[in-house]
Amino acid sequence: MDYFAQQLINGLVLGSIYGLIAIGYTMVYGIVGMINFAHGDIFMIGGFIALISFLLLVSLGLTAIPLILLLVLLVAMAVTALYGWTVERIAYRPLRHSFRLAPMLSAIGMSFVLTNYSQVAQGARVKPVPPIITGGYTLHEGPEGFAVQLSNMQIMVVLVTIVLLAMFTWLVSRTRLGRDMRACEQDQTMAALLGVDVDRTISMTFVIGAALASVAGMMYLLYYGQVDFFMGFVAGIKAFTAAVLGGIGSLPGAVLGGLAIGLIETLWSAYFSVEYKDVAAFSILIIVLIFMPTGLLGRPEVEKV
Amino acid sequence: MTAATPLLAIRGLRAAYGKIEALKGVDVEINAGEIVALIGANGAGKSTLMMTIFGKPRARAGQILFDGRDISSVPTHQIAHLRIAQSPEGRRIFPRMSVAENLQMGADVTDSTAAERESTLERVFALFPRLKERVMQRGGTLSGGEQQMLAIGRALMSRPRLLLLDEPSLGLAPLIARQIFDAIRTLNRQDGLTVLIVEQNANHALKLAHRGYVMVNGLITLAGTGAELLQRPEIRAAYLEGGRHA
Repeated sequence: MDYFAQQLINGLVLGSIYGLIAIGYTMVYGIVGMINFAHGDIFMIGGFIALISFLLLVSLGLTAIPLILLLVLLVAMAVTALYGWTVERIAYRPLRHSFRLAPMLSAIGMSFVLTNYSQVAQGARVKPVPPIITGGYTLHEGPEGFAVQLSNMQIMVVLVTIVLLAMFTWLVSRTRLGRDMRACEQDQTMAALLGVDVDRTISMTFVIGAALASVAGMMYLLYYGQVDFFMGFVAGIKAFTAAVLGGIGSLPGAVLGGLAIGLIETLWSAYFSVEYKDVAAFSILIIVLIFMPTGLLGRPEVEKV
Repeated sequence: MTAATPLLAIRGLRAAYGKIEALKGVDVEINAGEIVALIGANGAGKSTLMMTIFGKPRARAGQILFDGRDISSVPTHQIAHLRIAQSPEGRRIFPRMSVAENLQMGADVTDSTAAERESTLERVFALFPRLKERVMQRGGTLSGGEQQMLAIGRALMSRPRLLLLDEPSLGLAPLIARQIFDAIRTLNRQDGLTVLIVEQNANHALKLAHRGYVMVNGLITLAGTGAELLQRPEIRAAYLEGGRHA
């Protein structure tokens, strides 16, 4: 039981990171109907920006860890958002009215560009950082000496995810920008007829998705203590799987899918084999899609109009 | 008010979808305070004309003068800021937004204060009390007639100077269609709202309108006052007798 509880905690933490990335996939799919294959690399860029800004702030002589982390968070979100905006502007917008596959191919190209750019600019070696947030709590000590641990780092990942999701939900459901985003998702022509600048709204969608992915990148950096130029690939595929599992286009679905993938992966590794954890995650995806083709919270394509 | 310049003047307008030319040189004028009806058979280009005013599709030739200014190359989203509003073909309400949010989408284009918005909302609810009853309901769950009311209400929320209505009575029960026509008449008489209305129901539209245009295959073939057009034998034959009576 203790072992299970521990895996549950680990799974939820990993799932939070996937969920933050998955939102970017699902938002972009909802509004422009394409899978942004470069989104995983935006997550990787976010991790690097967090690392670089952390080192910069430390070399400037800052010592207060909470202040440093807050600044790192803001810098990572801002700079990565700029990357997201730029990718949309140069690789997707010119192809908006082209045939459907064109922006997808362009997205795969952008993914290679970002991966290789990071490799050239930052080197191919794994970049480690020493643990920055340490300590934690022992929740329960079992009779056989197995203790359920909850680290401060894990608490932070989950708290940051919850706060960001709350802010993001508020933005989508209560603000004018959020309403415009939903309008563009449902009927771009009508949105334009009502005075919504569709291009600008789409840009903002990429900006917000990239900002959330950068937070995931920063959490990954702090949690696993390392980043590398290739980490966006697998994390991106996992988060994309999470978005599809939850129902692509659905925001709560992305988070739910992220948590599900995180839990499946962790529990499978704990009870069966680490080597096959990805097989398990993708198998569950296939099984769910066979019985629920639109994912857990997806809506059917046909709507009463 | 300058009675000499029409609020909207369309001159030699051409538009096409790919290679298919839908408008082949259309001339239409609408004066401030007028209701103008555009009638014609399916596929004559009526809806295309409505959408071309908003630049979707873009005009290939000709002019669209609003208040004397050519708007034929203004981006679509900026045209709404000139306070031209459209209740388009197929209603196009946002199905996964509440009635309140749909109406708010219409109001967003104005820089009005919350109080002004509230009073416009009250006017819309006075015209269509059904919308008030369903204010928190999702647009997609409304009946066809309610969706039509919502589409018109949304257009009115921008306090338009020119209202474009595309087939407001399509698929509606006669009683509801009459309610909608009554609402348009009221808005025109009380607020001086200028309206361009496209209708297949020529009888209703020409009775409502001050003037009318008849469109055939992308061209205006007849123009006159509503009463004149109603008397024309070719109109009666083509659009009234044998067509749908109301």
